Amino acid sequence: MPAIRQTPLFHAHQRAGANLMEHHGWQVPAYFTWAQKEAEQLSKNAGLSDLSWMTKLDLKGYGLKTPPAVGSARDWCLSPQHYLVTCEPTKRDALIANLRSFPASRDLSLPPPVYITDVTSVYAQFLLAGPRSREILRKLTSLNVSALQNLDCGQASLAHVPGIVLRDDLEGMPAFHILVSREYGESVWEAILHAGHEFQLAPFGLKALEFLGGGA
Amino acid sequence: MADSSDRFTFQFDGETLEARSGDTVASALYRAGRRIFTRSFKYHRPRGLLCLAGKCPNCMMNVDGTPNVRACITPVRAGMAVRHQNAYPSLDHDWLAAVQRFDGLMPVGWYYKTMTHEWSWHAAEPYIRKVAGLGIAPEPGNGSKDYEHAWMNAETAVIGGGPAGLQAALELGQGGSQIVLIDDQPELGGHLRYRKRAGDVPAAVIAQLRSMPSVEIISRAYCFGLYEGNLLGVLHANPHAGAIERLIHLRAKRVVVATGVYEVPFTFENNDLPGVMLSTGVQRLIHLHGIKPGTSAVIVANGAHADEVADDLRGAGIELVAVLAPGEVISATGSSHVTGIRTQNGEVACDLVVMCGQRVPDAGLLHQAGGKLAWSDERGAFLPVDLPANVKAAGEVTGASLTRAMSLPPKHVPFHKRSFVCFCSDVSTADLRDGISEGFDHIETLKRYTTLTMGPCQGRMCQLAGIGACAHETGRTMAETGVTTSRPPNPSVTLGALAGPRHHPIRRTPMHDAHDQSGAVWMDMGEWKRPRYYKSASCESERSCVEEEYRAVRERAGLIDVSTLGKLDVKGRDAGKLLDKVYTNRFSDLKPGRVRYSVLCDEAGIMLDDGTISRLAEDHYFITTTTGNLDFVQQWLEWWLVGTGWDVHITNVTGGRAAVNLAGPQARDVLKTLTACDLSSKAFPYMACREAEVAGAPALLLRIGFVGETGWEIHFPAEYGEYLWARLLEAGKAYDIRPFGVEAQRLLRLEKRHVIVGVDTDALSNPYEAGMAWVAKLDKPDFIGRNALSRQAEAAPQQNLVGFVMNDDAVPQDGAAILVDGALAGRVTSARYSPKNGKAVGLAWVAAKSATEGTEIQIRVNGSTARARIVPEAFYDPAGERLRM
Amino acid sequence: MSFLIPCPHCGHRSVYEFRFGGEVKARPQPAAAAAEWMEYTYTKANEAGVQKEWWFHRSGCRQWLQALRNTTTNEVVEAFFPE
Repeated sequence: MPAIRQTPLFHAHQRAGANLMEHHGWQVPAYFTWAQKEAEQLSKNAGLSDLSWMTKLDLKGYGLKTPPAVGSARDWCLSPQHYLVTCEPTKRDALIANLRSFPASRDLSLPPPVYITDVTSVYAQFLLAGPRSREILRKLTSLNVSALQNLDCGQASLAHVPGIVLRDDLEGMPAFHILVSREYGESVWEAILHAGHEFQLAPFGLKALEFLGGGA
Repeated sequence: MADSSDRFTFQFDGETLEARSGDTVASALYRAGRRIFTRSFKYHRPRGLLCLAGKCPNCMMNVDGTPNVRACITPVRAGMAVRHQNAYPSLDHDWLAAVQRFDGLMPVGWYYKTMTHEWSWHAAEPYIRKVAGLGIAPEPGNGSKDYEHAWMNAETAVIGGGPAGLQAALELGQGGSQIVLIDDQPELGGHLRYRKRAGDVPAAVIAQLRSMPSVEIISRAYCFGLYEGNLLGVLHANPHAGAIERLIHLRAKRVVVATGVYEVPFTFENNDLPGVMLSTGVQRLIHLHGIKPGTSAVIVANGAHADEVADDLRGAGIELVAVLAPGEVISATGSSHVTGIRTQNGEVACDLVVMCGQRVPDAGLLHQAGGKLAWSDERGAFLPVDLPANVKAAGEVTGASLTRAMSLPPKHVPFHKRSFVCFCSDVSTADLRDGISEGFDHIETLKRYTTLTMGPCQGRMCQLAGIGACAHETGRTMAETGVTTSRPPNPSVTLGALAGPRHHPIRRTPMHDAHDQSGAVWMDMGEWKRPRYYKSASCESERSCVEEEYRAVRERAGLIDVSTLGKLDVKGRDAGKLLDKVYTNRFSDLKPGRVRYSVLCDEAGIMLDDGTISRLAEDHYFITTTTGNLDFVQQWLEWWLVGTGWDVHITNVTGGRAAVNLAGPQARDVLKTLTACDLSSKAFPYMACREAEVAGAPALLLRIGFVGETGWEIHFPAEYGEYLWARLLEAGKAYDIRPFGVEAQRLLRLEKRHVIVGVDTDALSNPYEAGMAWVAKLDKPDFIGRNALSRQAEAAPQQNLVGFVMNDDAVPQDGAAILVDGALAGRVTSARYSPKNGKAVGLAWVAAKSATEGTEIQIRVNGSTARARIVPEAFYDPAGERLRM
Repeated sequence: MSFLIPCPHCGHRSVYEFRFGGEVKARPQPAAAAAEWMEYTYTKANEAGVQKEWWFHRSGCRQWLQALRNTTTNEVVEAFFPE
């Protein structure tokens, strides 16, 4: 397998002077300045991180009239009988096996109840977190972010492109995963940083996330 | 009160002036001795502060490069650069003031009366533009500051931070409603801040509101429109150091409009002189800024408010010379500033005239929301009535506490060319009378003819006086005369704020940076960036670069990034059924591992898109769409799926797959060094697909040939984009492979006569006339467009898409006109110089009777006519042998 | 135009998030008369009042829905996913 999996921000991170590290085969920023500072900045104001490496599965089918059983992964309902599941790359294979394990009694004349498409590569995924993140988001999207409760998801135009916003709070701080089609990644990353400038929004790397004890 | 301990400087017309914290641009300039703030739109008359509330046009200046900024509501900041507008060389000495001597030549509607020929307008326009007007738009791209947008939601939006707005917010907030309170002043309190007799600013209420988490207060923001569905347009000035203005799209379940009232001037001769001010303006100068606006004052009032204002004047140490009724005033005197008031009993000297004018409900938003404005004789105002559900009026805007300051319609109107009704565009009472006498006696036609209410103040200063004058002159009542319609934006909004931030989405392919390093010359394809061609050391011009890329593909091997193709993953047992229904070709019988081309038609048989569809497994297809049509095609497929109950699931995977086309006689040699997949034509024939690893990355290989050579379209995970692109170029080095861009691709496909839907076809093109009859399978019992296509199959074509070769060296442009026997007979859709033919070749729509083999046509090229010949088949490899090698 | 459409999945959203898909019409049988096909393909009722329309929630759940909209007031009486 080739060694370098690039997120859509690979070159932007390099230009920003990020220190890159390998993470599940992906090249991702470990830190931009230093981890503790990034973590503090994030807890005080807001931070933005590139989490495009996270596993994303698209689930569709009549078996999704109720939410899928995804264990410790997160499931987000995008439309009737349509879910997005996000998880750590290490959990991907077990999760897929679990989702495909239909009961033995299933009527084989019917189609499979769940179709799975791995959409990890399809979306750029950013984590916008911190106490000011809501104020930043409302400069980018018409989605009523204030009404979005933890573990809710919303879909709306964001920085003028179709976006998915998943709220998954981090250590008691509001945190939003922002998903846009990968080709818009760099453009939307720039737009978020620009909107967040007044709130001292800064990018943070994987190390800061570990520092906060979240994800990764 | 401005804090005198905190002082700083700013610039006005290059001069350094002092300001105090709490000052607006206008108050700082006034304190520094400035009395003339603007020159009027048409006559360049000197104008000074009038309302001090952002309601009139009298103080608009250029602030830090932004024109038409209302100085009286803009806080001044250290280092701010303020400049005057519409005067030369300065506000105090404006040569263009000579214009007003010729006002007799400029009667109402003088454009219509004098510019009776088109040429006269074109001749006069540049001069008029120089002489008349407001500020000058800044050069685009200047300035580091941005305009920005934001979106907010509220259960209740309260517009206005005066006593009524505060009270409403408090009551609703205590009731649990989530509230956004919008106020256009720097501090809350409304008129209580400067009308001392009306009571104290309710500090306790404000403190309580600020402590409530469900209440958000936005100061220095005005609401310029109340749209359908309670969408409020709110303009927030200087939201933070990096932005000039923020446009807030505020969506509210319920709106409380508490915008209060504003004061309007009386009409008398020279009522526009600097020093003639509204009483609330004077009160603002005294109480908000600690400025003494004059030494000796005359109050013009009809009872109401006169005592209150007199107290304020005395308190500020201003001598009160006289209190006059509006009917007593004949004119103000003075040239650049008021020096007195002339009445029937002689002249009274003064340097300040305070008009206690009629108060008018600021009900524009309520009118926009669908409410009506009904005349009340008792209140002397048009009052908001019949409000829609979820829109309420609170406080003085309802008119509940108004009294009449003058008789309306007025018993006497001082018709005079210098008695101004509209300060924005210099419309006088005489102009209104003339307009009415010329037949524009309806308030709406009078508005359009005279431009009354159409200036930057949007009728705030002039509407009531204009209606009064119209009613007086036509003998109608105020109610019969009615009001002009309030439309957003009101007040005006800068175009920059509407346009928003300078952010345009860009779609980049996974190999974007690699192309950049290879010298890509970019082109925009919708939001996508694609290499048009690559600059290299061996070629000078675009044409030679493109030709080098072309030769690489025809003679050796070339590689193009086609990641912009739309890519749809279609799964499910009924996938073939859906594709059969929507595409013209048949897909249910396509064998796994095979690829088929098709077009997509609407019910009228018009081609909407084309692409290849590969069958990966029994219940799994992979569709490519043209770059710009992805969303459309996905929505089209989903639409026809609704209600069928079929087991089909469509997922857009465009962003997730990088795609390249490796093509050329040596493409196989290049590819086989990177994959174990058997690439021989026997194992992997033309129009087949295989899933295999390429350089270790999982890939889908489609053997198709848009450019007309042996080749593979390789789809693989986007995160390997640059890696695989580099590996393919490296493997191709031995064959002198070249990356090629869109230009070379277009030329290569044109030689093959491959049509691009949307370039060579338009909204009238069906497959038969486009020469693609084979793509419509009319033997399918039903599909979208079948009914129309079955009729078109039998009908005589109107026009045909044909190929042509030029007779000489001319290269027509896309879109060039085609003539047959001197008559217009069609148009070119694509034309390029073909190295294979040594001449330009192209595709063109030609009237059916001329679209026969060998017909000679003429094409307009660079203003002359060049000859060409229609050819029936592809210009290159018509049998398609090279594709199958 | 800034009315709201109550998307059955996403809730009330601005009309700008949606793509208009035209009036809801029944597609004729393949063998139907040419006149019927002509009517279906080219004509619209353009009701002054409540009519049933297709809307696609482009910036939201990306689903086709049907809405009963009063064309004179833009009031959307109801919006639903068709069965």
